[in-house]
Amino acid sequence: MLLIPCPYCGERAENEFSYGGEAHKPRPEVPEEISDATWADYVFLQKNTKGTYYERWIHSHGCRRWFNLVRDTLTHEIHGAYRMGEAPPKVDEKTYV
Amino acid sequence: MPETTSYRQSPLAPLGLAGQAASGLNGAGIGVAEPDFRVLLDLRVELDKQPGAQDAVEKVLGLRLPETANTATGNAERHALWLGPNEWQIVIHDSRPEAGREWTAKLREALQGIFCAVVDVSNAQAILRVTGPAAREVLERAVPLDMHAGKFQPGEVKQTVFGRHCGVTLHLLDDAPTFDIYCRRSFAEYVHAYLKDCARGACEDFAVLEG
Amino acid sequence: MAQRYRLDKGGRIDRDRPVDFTFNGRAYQGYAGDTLGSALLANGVHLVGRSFKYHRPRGIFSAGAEEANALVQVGEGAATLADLKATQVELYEGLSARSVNCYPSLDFDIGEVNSLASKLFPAGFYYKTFMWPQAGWPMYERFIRKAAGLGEAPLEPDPDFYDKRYAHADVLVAGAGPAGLAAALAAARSGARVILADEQHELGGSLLSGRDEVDGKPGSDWAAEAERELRANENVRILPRSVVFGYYDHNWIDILENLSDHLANKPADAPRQRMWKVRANQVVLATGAIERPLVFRDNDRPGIMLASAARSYVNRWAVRPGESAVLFTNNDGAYAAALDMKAAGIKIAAAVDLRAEAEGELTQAARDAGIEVLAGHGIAATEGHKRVRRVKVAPLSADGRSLAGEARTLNCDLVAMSGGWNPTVHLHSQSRGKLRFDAELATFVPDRAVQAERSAGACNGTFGLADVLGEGFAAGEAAAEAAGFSVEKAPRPQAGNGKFLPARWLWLTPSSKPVGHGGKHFVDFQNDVTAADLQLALREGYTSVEHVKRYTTTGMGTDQGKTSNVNALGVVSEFRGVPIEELGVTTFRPPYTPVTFGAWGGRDVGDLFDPIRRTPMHSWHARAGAEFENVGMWKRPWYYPKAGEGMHEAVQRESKAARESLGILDATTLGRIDIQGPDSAEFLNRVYTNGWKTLKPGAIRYGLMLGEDGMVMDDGVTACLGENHYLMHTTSGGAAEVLAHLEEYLQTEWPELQVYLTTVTEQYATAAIAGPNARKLLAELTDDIDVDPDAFPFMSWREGTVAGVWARVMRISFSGDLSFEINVEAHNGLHLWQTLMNAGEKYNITPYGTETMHVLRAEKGFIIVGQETDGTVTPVDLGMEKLCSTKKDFIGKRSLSRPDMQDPNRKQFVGLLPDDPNEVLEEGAQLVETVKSQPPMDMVGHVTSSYMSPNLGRGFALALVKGGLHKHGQKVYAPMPGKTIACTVTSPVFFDPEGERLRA
Repeated sequence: MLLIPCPYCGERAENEFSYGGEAHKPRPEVPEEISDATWADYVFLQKNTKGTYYERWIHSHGCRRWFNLVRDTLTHEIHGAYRMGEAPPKVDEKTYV
Repeated sequence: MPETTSYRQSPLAPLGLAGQAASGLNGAGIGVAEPDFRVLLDLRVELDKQPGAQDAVEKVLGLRLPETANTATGNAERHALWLGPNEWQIVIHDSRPEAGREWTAKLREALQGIFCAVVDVSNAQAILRVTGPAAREVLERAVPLDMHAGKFQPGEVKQTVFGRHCGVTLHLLDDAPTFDIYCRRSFAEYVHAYLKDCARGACEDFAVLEG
Repeated sequence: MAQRYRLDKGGRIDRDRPVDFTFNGRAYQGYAGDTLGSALLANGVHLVGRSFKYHRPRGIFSAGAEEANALVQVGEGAATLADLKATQVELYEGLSARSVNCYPSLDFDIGEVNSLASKLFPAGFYYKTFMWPQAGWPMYERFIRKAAGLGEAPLEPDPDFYDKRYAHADVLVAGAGPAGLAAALAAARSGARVILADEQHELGGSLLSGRDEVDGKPGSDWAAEAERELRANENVRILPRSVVFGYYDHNWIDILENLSDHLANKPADAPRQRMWKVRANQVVLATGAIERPLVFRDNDRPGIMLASAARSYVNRWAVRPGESAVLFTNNDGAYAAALDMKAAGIKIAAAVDLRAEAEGELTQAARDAGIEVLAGHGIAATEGHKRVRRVKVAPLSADGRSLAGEARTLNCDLVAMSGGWNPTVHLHSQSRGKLRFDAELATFVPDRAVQAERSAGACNGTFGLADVLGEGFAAGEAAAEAAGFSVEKAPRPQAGNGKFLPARWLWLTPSSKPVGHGGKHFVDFQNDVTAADLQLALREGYTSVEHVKRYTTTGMGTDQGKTSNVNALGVVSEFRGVPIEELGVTTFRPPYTPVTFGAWGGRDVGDLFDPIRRTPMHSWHARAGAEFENVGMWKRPWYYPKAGEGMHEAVQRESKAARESLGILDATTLGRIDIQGPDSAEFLNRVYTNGWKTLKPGAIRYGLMLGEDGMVMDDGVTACLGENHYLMHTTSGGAAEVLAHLEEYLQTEWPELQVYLTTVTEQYATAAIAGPNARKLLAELTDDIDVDPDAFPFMSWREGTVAGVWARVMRISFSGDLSFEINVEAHNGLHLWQTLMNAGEKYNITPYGTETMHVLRAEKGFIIVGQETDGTVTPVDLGMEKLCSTKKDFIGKRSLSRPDMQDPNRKQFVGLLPDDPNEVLEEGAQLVETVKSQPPMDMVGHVTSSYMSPNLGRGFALALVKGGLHKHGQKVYAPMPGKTIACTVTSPVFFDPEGERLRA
């Protein structure tokens, strides 16, 4: 079970949290104006990086705030957590093959 | 039309604990009581964007909202529990049936013109008061928090998951230690039964205490 | 004679406390402090089990967790435990154990023919033998199940209970041998919170079996002193009988603590085992090392054991594991066993040493003690069926690959073998720590740690006692410092520092014939994998060690390769001519040793399996005899059978009453979200398909919520409570998901919207009264709500007093009849319900459950999200396109214009009427337009809901049918076993299509 640093509550066990997928993937401003392919990409496709990944979590059994996490999806190493709207921490990004 | 207290049934009332309740632990490691009805309000406001909010709250409740995560402010009769960066639970020891609606209205009025939300959740939650020397050991069977005396101190409030899937708010009141556990009303019997089983697992006697 | 092989003195046993036990039905006696294994050996019992595949006789081969042969079943009936290692089972009065994997008895085992027919059971025999013909599989499976297995699971429910708890530590130390004790002492002295766990009942590890001194006193005394110091420290938690079996992400550790398995009288109200879920800031692994067997011909006979085990039996348990022993070694360290055995009066027939130059401190000591050392020799064969009787030893060629001279026979009843040592790197490996091949030790040792852990002592490849203690202290100090404590360096204890080297690494001892052509060279004793199996796997092209592992099963199962992994790699390396370090190593997986299902379940079983959510009216429903249905975690009344009624009769009666007079439903479980803030209407506009800006206080509107993929995810009504204040209702099962969905958009996509969401699901209890008499009943119970249809129209709400308490009444209808949903504060829920029941008696008020609710709403063609929809259904498919605003964006809207969403042949929502009115279709039944004599047929849809309706007087159904919106009046068929049901496609609204009743 991961130990997740909620930016509001501090480090808590993973079972207090829920996962929300890729971060920094804003909803298109005017969906009507974009192509089917771009929309499908937004709705259905996530980067799913093997390596450093920017992702959203919600502290659902805690402060109920959504926040972002930088996590290595292979090693589960957590490089930092930051609030919505904040800039991500500087991370030495890695990807694995 | 005035309302009658006797209509109300507390979340743990179906267990019929009143008959077995004792006034003290009598050597038990942990005791659990269901306190009297309280007013519980959920207050949402961005303090940094709504500068008048703290004063308005203080005027009505006589306490200021804690801005430090995982803490509470207040006194024996009233508390403000930090739930999130823009969310608090107000606890008022006022057991009148209409008290929840009254306090909601008072607070809303005081916060007029401020972007906020005051919601009466007095009936939405169950309260279990857990006390006794083994309380921390027993609770460590139910919640993934570090319950060590150095890590969870009086005046602190932590929300977490209890047993399987049950959200709770733990408010530590004193060194006894005494915890007020708030959970959703429908989970009350589960939480009670789970605590009892945790005490069994810890080989500690479990006392039902008067509220 | 009782305990004939017990030494006269010594051992960590209590000779004043004899313990009676039975093995395979025979009575024996041991002493307190014995394991089942040491007690059996004290009684001269060597044959204890049969091997997994070939059913070969097997004996006790180790003295600990690495035991691969002596697997036993302990206890009877419901509490019986399978797959225990005799070498780990603590002896207690009345213990009853038996061998596993033998039939009909241990001495005469039919399965042993497998051994004679072993050519039929090569590696991968499952894959080869049982593939054809396919129809034979059920028969094969029966055969395999009978032949295999490591014991029997009890058939009765588990009578015991299991504790499970979380714990937090600054430093967790796994293993309480010399390194672990040193680490715990160092960490504890700094003030850190320490958990020290060891699988054995006594702390001390190898100090209990050896004769080493620490600080001038016996090592076991030093361990006892260390334990005393630790016990006196309130920051230290010592867990004996506790195996650290799992190491997961972020220093999350699983420990299984045995509490009562070793007790003769098990306390009635105490847990049997406790599962610890530990979060440790720092971890010190001090798990020791496991001696490696040697791979030689027929190396599995009872009486052949690890040299260190033989030494432990002599020193720790005062047992002679044989009368006449042969030491077979490739290293110097094993001579300690020969010396201790000799001192205990065991004849040492010879020391067979694979090393051409057998040298070293202990080797010399053995020579000095008069032990014959056969340098450059190997055991070429063994004899003896149920116990080894003699071995043939022969000189080896210089390269060690063949015999180089005549064999000589040595009579013996014990072979103590040592192929070197494998650090117990399981936990390090589980933690994703890397391993490094140490050529000097010819084994894998921990390399870089990935998590906050450090290995100390033998598990780190460190074998001299002084070094082990020093490394333990250093690890404990470093861990405490890393956890934020300041450390004063302690002086290191004095101790000898002998290592087991020098050694010669020869992975396969040659015999007179090539491998596979005579006898068996076992590599993995538990899984019965031989060197020949590994050779076969390589020959068949499985060269990667991961493939070899899976094809041959070596290193798998409950054993996890404790004694076999490195030998298997060595043998593969030998066959392939590739150095071990280039082969790589397979991953060790948790659990390190088997864990009972009971411990995994902990207290989350039975009534506590999952939370049960109850409404405030639950006790009334239970008293009324309701059958309950699980909806999410809620218990909802399903139907209320009266005496003699089954579900069908009850539902028919309830459905009729709710249409003809008055029904009452507990609707408390609906999700409720309070929405406040100046942008609330805008927010609703974005999350629902329809428009919300015109909804006035007092009014209610139905909304349909989509996911961004355009599929229906929830529906419900939302009331406008006041200016910028709304109350949204969600489905009972969808409440949490919907709130999370809304919060996600609010917090991550639209933080500029001034809206607050608060769940108020549980603030209210709701009784829905439905039927022609609903208004009359409501009017009787309220003075301040005008129930007149003009004053209180459909889709509006009023606040007032009902049954003497505050209430918010909503005039909405999910039954299709005149209906009011009366919401009161939850503490008053039972009061409201009882008042309605009493006052409604004159209208024959009938409580109805979810089943009747389903029938009533289906008659009206109202969908249930999750029943009519399954995540692939759009509003268009449901014929609800009108609810999708064209004037604004909303979540999911863009997806609705994707080409495949426009396909007229998508599955669409329809009603179905079976031609035979008595027919009730099965929910989930597939529909076709053209019936063929047998499948496959082109399927055009499926039934989503189906009921017998007393109000329609016939069976009816809802369905999704391809292009169904335009197929009303056409026939479809549901082919069922034995019959085909013909139906007509209709509108999904069967009852009161104009809605006159609900607007009445």
